Amino acid sequence: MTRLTFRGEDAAMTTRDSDRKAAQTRRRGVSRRGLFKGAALAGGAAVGGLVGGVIPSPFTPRAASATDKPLKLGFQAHRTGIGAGYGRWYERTTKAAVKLINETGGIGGRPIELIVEDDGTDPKRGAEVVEKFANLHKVDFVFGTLFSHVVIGSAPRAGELKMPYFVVSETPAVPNGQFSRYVFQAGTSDVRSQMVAVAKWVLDKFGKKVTMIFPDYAFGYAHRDYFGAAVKANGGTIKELIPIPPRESSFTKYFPRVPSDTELLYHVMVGPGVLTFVREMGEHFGSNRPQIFGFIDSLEGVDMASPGLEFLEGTHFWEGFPRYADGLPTRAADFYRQKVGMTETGTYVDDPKDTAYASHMFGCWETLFAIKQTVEQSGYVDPTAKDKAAFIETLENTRWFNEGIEHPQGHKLFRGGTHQAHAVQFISQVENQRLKVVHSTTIEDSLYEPEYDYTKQPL
Amino acid sequence: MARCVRGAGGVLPWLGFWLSMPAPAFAHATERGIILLLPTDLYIGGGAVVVALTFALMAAVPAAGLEALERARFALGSVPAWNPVVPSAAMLAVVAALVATGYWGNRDPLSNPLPLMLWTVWWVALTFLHAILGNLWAFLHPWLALHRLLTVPPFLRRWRRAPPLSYPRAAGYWPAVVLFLAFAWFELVYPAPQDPALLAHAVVVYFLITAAGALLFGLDAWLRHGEIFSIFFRIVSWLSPFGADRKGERRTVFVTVPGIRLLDAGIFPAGGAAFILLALSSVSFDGFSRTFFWLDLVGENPLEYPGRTALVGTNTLGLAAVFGALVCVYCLAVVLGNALARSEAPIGTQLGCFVVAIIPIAFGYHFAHYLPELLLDSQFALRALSDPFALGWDLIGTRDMHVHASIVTNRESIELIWNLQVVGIVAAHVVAVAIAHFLAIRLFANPRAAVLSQIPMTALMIGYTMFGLWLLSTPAAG
Repeated sequence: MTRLTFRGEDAAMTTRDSDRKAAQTRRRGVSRRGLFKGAALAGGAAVGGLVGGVIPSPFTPRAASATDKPLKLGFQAHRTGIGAGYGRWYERTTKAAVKLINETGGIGGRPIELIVEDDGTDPKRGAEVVEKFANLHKVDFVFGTLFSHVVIGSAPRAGELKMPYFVVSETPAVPNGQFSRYVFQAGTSDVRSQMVAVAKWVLDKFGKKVTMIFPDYAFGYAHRDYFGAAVKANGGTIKELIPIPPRESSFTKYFPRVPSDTELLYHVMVGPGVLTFVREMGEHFGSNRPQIFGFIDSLEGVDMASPGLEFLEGTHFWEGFPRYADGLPTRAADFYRQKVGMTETGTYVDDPKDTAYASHMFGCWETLFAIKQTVEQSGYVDPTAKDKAAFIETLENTRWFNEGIEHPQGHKLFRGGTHQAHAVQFISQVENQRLKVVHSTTIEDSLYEPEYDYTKQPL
Repeated sequence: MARCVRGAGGVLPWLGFWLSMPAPAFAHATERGIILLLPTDLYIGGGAVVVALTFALMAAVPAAGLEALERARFALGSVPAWNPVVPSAAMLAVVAALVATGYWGNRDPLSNPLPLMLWTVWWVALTFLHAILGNLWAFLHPWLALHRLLTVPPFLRRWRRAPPLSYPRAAGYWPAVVLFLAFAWFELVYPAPQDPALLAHAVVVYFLITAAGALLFGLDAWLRHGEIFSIFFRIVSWLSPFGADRKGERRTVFVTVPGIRLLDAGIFPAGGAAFILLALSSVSFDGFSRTFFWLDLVGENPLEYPGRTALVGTNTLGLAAVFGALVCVYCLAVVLGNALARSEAPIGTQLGCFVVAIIPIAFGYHFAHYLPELLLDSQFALRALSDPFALGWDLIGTRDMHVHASIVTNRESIELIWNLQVVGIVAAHVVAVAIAHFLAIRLFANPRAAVLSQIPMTALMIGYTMFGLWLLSTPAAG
């Protein structure tokens, strides 16, 4: 496979190393020892050498492919509609990754031809876009969907068309077995694994008497159920569940329902009312507050110095990828930031007031490199049934995506049965209106018992 | 959390699973979130007070002062006549090129020039320019060149000056009303109005309709009664302080009080009045259909906006309902005013007269509603023009230009935009109240009757000011 290295660096881990390690890990199954060993092996790839651009490693199989024609990738983007903010950063990240891949030899020697179609953040249009990619543009793979309801509207059509389809969401619908063998989430972790990963540390640190405030619909229920289960699994108790109706724009009447012996207040409000929610929460609790933990989804793309957020000082958030560079001070992460134009403070390099969607957008970058690795390892050439089968089986047999330029967020443990990647997660504290990482989980923390095995489905 | 077990079959497990899905934060925390922190109730109340005070001020100003205002006109100079086919042909070429990019350019609507030039530069920015500079579309429209081109063949040449059909007087502005409804539906309800290829289809269809209308009824008749944008831009241009009088081969350009030229608009027939009310109600509905209030009303979760496709039926009814409601409220205001003034002027005349006062409000809503889009998407448009066919060109050196999205996401600019929107909405209603009062003075000989007749209309305008400011400040999806 092609592996990108920092300029001047010897390939710290060769294809053979990687494959051997993956094979060993597969034989062992998932064990702490195996995880740590895999991580240590892969970690070698990200250290040493000089940052100054990337070069194809000596192992680039330029002639690996039987053709030089472009590999067509369909990017299903939320360019308009309510996901347009995410869409802007997904587009920037995707274009940066495609540019890098094309500058460094392409995929198996083939350049990427990127075709962007807007789904309007609309589930039904999502399915139409998948059809256009398959029947009109005749792409090799489709990727990029974020919003869960659009994923759920689109992915079944991809399965019907036998189109390998990579969502860049956090939806547990992929690992839960809702889709087909053609649907993957290889570049980012699912929301369940995120909650499972952070629960233990949060409960040990802040206390086990938990009250949850969440929006009264599916998004909130997933947090209630997954985090609620994790609370119980870690010896905690749920003191109160406070669902907030989606239409609500003032929240003062809900805070008195928080029991006085609550040690940890978990919040995951979304939408335009978030700033008001935080301000009113501050007005209610003042300095006499429980520990507070939330998901950055509430404030993704939002400047932490925004009005109303003063009360968040000292509270904690989950992050998928640290917004501030000092939270993940690796050379791979720095390199990724530079390429996508994200500054050390998580804003756009040419527009310091444009805050990145850091916890989500890295998934586009990593998905593209996962596709690249799998194409090169599987010998995929054309969208024939045979090549697609080889591609899918190769991906399902992949155990690790190793930290490095290709996977700057960290190692990914990929479960072929659930088609889901698992990753480290970050817990950050708001300090001087910045997010400061105070804890990183292990990958093992994010694992849960698999519920489905896609490999049992026919191709 | 309810789980769907694979193989269970049926719709319900699937539905249950869907309902249990988490999703990233939907409606975004900034933009409206920052406005929600502002004292928007004070803005709304203040706007209402300003409009009410305008009415009181108008009632106190003597008619002579108003007449002086009407006469205030200063000549700026004259310009020679030019061949009108030249700018029209240039525009036709531009449209043809844009349609080509729609079919063969980038599939991304924020990289393809057609949707950006049409929806942002033409429909938004050009409308703004009409309110400032006057009727640019009268010189720029492609229809003259298209008509000349279509009448080149010998068998159609005689239709250039003598169309086969005379425009039916009874039809009035109704063809434009029907076409504007279709246009508004496509823009506001249809799932993918920004899709480059679909939009190119729409442009071609509209060109075919216009070509047919111009051929059959003559260019002038069709532009006056059937071509939506010639009508729309013409009525918006009456807000401009600039105008031109033709004197022989030259045009004399003058400057006057902004909006005062609305008084020369005359009395609209029913179709014309419907057109103006439709212009206002469509842009009102666009804002309204995104509010949490509306989504909740139609049974949708505002934090989980289901996409435009799922709302096609609902929003079609909503668009029609808002149009119908505005027509009813406007008619009621005029009828009540007539009753208070005890006027003998025909009610039809009054309806066609006072509708002119709705024009500034329609523009004010247009301005406030589209301002953020203009600030953001005009940057995308500039970038897209450099590489219209996605071939790696850099025609005007903007291909790699950075789009400053923070202009619609950071606090300072959001607050600035909000204040501009408030000024736009309130100023539009102030002008509307003044224009309505002027018209009443003309229509009713008795000044007291003129003032009384405007009480219901002023109430409508105060209400619409508050509605407009509420639309811009209430929680909304997207």
